[in-house]
Amino acid sequence: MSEKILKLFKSELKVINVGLEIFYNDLRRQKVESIQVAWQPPPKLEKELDRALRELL
Amino acid sequence: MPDANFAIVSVPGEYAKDVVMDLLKRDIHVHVFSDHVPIEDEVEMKKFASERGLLVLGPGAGTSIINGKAIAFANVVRRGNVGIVAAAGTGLQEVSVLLDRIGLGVSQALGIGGNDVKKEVGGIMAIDCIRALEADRKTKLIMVVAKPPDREVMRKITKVISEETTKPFVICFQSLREYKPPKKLARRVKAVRGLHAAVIQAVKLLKPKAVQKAHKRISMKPRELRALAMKLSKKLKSTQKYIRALYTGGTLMYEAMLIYRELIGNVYSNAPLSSKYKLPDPHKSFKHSVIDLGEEEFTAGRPHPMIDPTVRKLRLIEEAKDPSVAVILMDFMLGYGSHEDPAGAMIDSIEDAMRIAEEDGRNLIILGHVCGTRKDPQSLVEQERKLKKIGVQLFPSNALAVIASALIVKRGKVKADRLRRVYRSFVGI
Repeated sequence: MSEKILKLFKSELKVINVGLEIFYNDLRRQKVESIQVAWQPPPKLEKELDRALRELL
Repeated sequence: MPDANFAIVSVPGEYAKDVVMDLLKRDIHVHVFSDHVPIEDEVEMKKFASERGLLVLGPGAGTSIINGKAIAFANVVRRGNVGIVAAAGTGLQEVSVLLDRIGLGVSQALGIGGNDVKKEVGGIMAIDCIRALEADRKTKLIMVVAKPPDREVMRKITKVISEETTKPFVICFQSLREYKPPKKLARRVKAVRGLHAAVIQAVKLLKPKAVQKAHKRISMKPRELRALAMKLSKKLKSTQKYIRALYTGGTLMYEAMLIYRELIGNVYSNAPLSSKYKLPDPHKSFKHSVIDLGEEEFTAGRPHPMIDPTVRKLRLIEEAKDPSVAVILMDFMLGYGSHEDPAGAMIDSIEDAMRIAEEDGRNLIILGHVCGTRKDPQSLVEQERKLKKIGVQLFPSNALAVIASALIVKRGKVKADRLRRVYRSFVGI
């Protein structure tokens, strides 16, 4: 079951950073290929609707 | 990025699971920095990842080093053959830095988050990471660093080590009592309680001939430390009795409490070993106090003290005003993620603190440990130089700084056998 982890250990890191931009900047300083994902919390209403729908279904 | 193989997630904890599950479904390993992730979310993410052979490092993982690259708060350490699994962020930083200083290096360092070894999570990632490092050709020794796991989790980890591994292990469980591996594993599995001792054990197992050299680089003998403490304590008035340790690193602070318990008894804290010693007001020290400034009461609405030194600067001044304080101890965490100049940012406050004491006719002894390497963005040499210049007494490891502070307030009067015992458990001599 460790194949995918061992593959990661042998590969060049390619990183998606979701959240704090400081980590993205630090990856770039280390010359790690990376992208920053602008993430925002979903609107509250959407979460509440989602919860209500889940309860109904 | 269609070929991404790793992600760092630091969104608020309640949203982390949704983001992480999306990434796992795309076969991407994830380091979850977010804290306050509900434990049931952690279990769900880790079970899902484990079934697919993927990593979920964290939640609440401050540090990992993957393929030599610092993830979140991590130092620039040389690459080598020690694989680390850690449920303790600054613990991982301390062992990786000390390994670097003695000439060893890290193959991979995997931060699994403090909850992984608790009953609810059951050590899912601890076990997957141990299996992966066992299979990794570049790893010759596996080091496990954590607060003591749940008993059942400990049993599971021990079973995996016993039945599925052949490599040597150093187990550093930061516990009140030493973990004893089963007798049949005694030759290749060594248990210690301290981070410094874990690194010394790693040298003993990997390069036995280099042990003395390693000690020269990072250790001080008990008699040297006692002599230094006696010399420093001569500057104190008899009314100066107490230690105030102001930590930014939670694991280092925990290690300090374990050492103090052996040398000066229980200490007060905002996160004590026993609830009896919890400070009623975390903003006010009492007798010997050890403060984790990374705890929620200090970080609500502001960055962690490893990034923003403001809270510690203010606290230091308050401690300096207390005439019963003898020693102030501080950690300075270097590496990616941390403040760009942790020593420089504290200098004016340290000088102010010394001046306040001086004007009151006292001397204040300030001890420090800089956890970093020469190659860190802040440079260990530069950071140490700044602190030494203003009279901060520095130590190569947290354990030594803590033992020194205890010896100072005891005016050197700690029984030799007790000191030896602490040294064996925490320093590895």
